[in-house]
Amino acid sequence: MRHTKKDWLLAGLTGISLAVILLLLAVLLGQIVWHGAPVISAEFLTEKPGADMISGGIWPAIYGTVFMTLLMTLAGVPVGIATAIFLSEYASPRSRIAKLVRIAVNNLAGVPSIVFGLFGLGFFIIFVGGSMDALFYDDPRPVWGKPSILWASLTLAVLTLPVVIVTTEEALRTVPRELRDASLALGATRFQTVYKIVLPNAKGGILTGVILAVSRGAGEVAPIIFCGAANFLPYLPTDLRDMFMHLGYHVYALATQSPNVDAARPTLFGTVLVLLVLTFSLNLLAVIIRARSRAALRP
Amino acid sequence: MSESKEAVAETPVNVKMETQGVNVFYGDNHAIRNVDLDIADRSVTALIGPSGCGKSTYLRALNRMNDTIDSCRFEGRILLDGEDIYGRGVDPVEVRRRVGMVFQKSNPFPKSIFDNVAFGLRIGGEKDKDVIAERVEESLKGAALWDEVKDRLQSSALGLSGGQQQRLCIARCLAVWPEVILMDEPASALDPIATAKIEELIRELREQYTIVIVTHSMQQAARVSDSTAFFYMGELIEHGKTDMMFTRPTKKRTEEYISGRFG
Repeated sequence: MRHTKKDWLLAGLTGISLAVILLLLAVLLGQIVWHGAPVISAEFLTEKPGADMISGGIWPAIYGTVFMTLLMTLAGVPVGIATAIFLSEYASPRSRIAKLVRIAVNNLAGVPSIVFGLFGLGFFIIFVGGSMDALFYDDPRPVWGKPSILWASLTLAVLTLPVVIVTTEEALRTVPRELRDASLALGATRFQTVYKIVLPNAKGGILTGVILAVSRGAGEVAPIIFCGAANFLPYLPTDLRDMFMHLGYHVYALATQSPNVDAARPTLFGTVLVLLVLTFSLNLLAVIIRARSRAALRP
Repeated sequence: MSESKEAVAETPVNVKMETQGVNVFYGDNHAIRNVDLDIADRSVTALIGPSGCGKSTYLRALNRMNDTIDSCRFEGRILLDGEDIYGRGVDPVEVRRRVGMVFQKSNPFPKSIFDNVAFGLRIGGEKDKDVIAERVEESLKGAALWDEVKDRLQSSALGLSGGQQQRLCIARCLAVWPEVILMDEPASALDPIATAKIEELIRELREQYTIVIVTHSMQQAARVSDSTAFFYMGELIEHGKTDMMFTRPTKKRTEEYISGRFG
């Protein structure tokens, strides 16, 4: 095929765009690794932070992030998958409820994350937690009605919900109708068909979506500012009602609240690097699972 | 049954399924109009007619597969051994265990050959491994596939050829002991050799099962079926013994279709 001048122009422009993006990414990651890597040590990863927040390590923030992510996954993912199964397998496409749920999911996905934080504060902490305190405790001091790792996790679960629902529904839809028909024609109930045929064949897609949603939730800071993340708390959370440190929030705190911002910079970069490694490894896991489930479908 | 009709039939025919005043609608589309049809036990009934005449829709009404389509509405009665399968309190899941189905496009599960055939037994609650293994072997033999796959039962069903996959689907259907087997153009995607194998299989299965087959090939209907029903625009135009239908049809439309003047 002969290339005209316009073709070359377009190829050049798209090539430059690609180069710009790759360069930006390289500079960004390069900066973080360059400044962050020297700080990483066994001590940095396993120690509590010192009183100045710069010395010592970031172990409570790593622990808090992982703990919160687990709680968030446990709370949000089953609800999200169940909703997607309802939408894809049970609800008639014309049903009002299904339409309402879809509209809600789409709108939820477009809400800025700080609004989720306010929602968590208003709904979970003040309404749910406050009501629990009023009902079960005589103490004027709040027991449940205060920021904690539980409420932060639930808030993030709501934030990740739309992603889980949408990706799971997409994965369920890739299972051919013929397989459902074959199962039903053999006398399987709808539930058996979903459980034995649809879910196993959509497993890879569902897992990939879940992991991507979780890795997004793990790095979110805005929603947890009001809901349970602590500025400086050199203890590990042992109770659902405890506050906790979080890698993302720690970065924010180091950059804005630290007495000496310049001196905090190496710790800052180290923390960012750890957070990136954690979320990248989740994403990598998603990629591996997707590749493996694709391979499994081939004869 | 009157004396004269008995005299016409070579052997007394038992009716396995009886269709009475069946109407099927897709939304506003009246797809099947007032069909009455008796399906004889242990015989092959072919449903023929031009595309869109409703023969597949009618077939899917016989095991309530249309129930899974949202906009589909059914009127009338279909009796299986005298009992209305659309009657109140009848579980469509139970109906589908008695009336199995083989689809146009072979649709094996992305599982092993063994697990495909065992699927119906397992969801039916069968746990005994020996019983399952025995039934899988019987079913694969019944579908004339055993000799080709006995050494690789654990390999993926997706590795089989198209014709083998369709016979696997038949074996999967046989495994749950159906009484009636519905086949929706089972050979339309297969080459002539694989088609011949399926047709031979249908003739064998007829000894034990009642078979209803939709086909767009009149030669196939003539080769495999005992009786033939001709559908046109959602109506049953004519139903009779296959050799009569193809040599002396009573209705003009049937004759025109069979002689290839339309369709």
